[in-house]
Amino acid sequence: MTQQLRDTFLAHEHLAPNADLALEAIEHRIRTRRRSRAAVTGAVVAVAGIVAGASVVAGGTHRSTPAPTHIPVAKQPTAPPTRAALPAPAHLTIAAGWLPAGTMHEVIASNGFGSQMRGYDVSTGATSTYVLISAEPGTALPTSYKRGTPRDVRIGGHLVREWSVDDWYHAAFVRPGGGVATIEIEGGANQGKGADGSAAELAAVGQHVLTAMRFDRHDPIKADFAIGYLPPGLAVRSVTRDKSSGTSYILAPPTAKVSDTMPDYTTVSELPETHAQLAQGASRSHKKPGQPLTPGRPVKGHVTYLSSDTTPTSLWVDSVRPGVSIQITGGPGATTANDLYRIADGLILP
Amino acid sequence: MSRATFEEFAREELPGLLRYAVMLTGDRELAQDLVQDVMVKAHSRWRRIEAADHPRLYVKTMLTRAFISWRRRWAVRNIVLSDDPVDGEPERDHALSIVDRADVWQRLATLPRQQRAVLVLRYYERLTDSEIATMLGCTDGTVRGYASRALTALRLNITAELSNAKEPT
Repeated sequence: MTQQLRDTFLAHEHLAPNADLALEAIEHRIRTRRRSRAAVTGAVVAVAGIVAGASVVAGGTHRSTPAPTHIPVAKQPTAPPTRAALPAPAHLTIAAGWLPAGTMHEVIASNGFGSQMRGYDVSTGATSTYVLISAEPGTALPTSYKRGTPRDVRIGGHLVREWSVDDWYHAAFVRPGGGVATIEIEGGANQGKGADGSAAELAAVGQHVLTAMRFDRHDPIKADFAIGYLPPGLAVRSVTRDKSSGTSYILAPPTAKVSDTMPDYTTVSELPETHAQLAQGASRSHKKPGQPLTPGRPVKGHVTYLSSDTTPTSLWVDSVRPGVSIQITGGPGATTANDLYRIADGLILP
Repeated sequence: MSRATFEEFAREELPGLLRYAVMLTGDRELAQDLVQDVMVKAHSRWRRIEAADHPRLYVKTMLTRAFISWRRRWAVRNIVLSDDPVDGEPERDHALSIVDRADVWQRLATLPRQQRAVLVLRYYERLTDSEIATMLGCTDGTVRGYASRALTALRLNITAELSNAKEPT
């Protein structure tokens, strides 16, 4: 049997997609992501520290507007912060005006460099559907995305470019007031218990979301901590709150634009692991993940570690809450350990 | 030694990652999607990945875990067992034929993702159970359990089919 398996795997290597085409698609998605989702550059969680949205249960087949309940994020801090949170793009004007029936959780909310993104997971128990909406500057519709051939259609008065491939639907349209709005719908299954409907059904869901998309909201991004100090010349340019990985900020010059050559700006991100967990993982896999390993001075009562690399410098503030740490990675304008410690000292933790 | 840029890494490693993803997913299109998703994510984490001793292992671990937790509807696309009857008893002592490989390939699609991933890592990537455990974030015993159940399931399927084929019609 084992030799059969080896032979079987080797006999199917020819199914591998063309690497050059794959690289082209990846580079396109990275460019698109930089433009439209710049706020997620860090890709790891970080919390914005202002106020919270809330899970909403969408009932029946009625329209369900996710009406966030505004809850103070700083849950009774043990000591009042000594400084106010610095201005950040911590609100979203976009929202899904309609979602399919089911239990809804907002899984990502992001605002940065002029782009916004908001993702919802709608579960019916056996199945789940992922809905991602975004708004970005610009006037040009994308010409390619992931795979499949787009088609231009008119939906809800908008000229829409849409892709519909199996359990995945993507559409974009130019807003009358300027900017490009996109939606992405992915049908999914929970624990393999079942599957959603056909591509046509998913496209219908996507088109419904598209026509009901809102641009007039003022919903705060949920945040678990805030930035209280900025190195000279930097501003909070992006806030992302991701349900699974946490909250992240990007600090960059106020005039910085998103571009393909955008440097790695300073990030302040939550990570769902502690230094001990990280060290254990690195030891087991005999790898050096590039994380801070040199003990530093305490920050707000938390142990810290500094990157052992000469560059780039990272500061790890350990266990800011159970199982969660904050990593500050330096970029232009914050290149020294002192810069990072000043940012760490200024953190406003719950 | 200088560190590779993301583009250099991608050019070097994509062919292998795509082949590996095909083994995991059993499907060219899904493999393409999976690798794209992971590589876009890897790009955003590149500073961390490039600092690792083994960036390829790091990304392959990301790929494996993404496959196991991916949201896509594997059942719909992958469980496509043939209903064609077995034409007589297979001659098991022959070299594995193309038909046999296709049959095993289809049976692999019926396995839970963890079990399939373990088989791919063991018999295609030729990793040890300990290395697989590290990649999956579980214990060596769990890996052996997945492998045992997967192999049993594959053998049971074949045994059942052979039994059916032997029954008089």
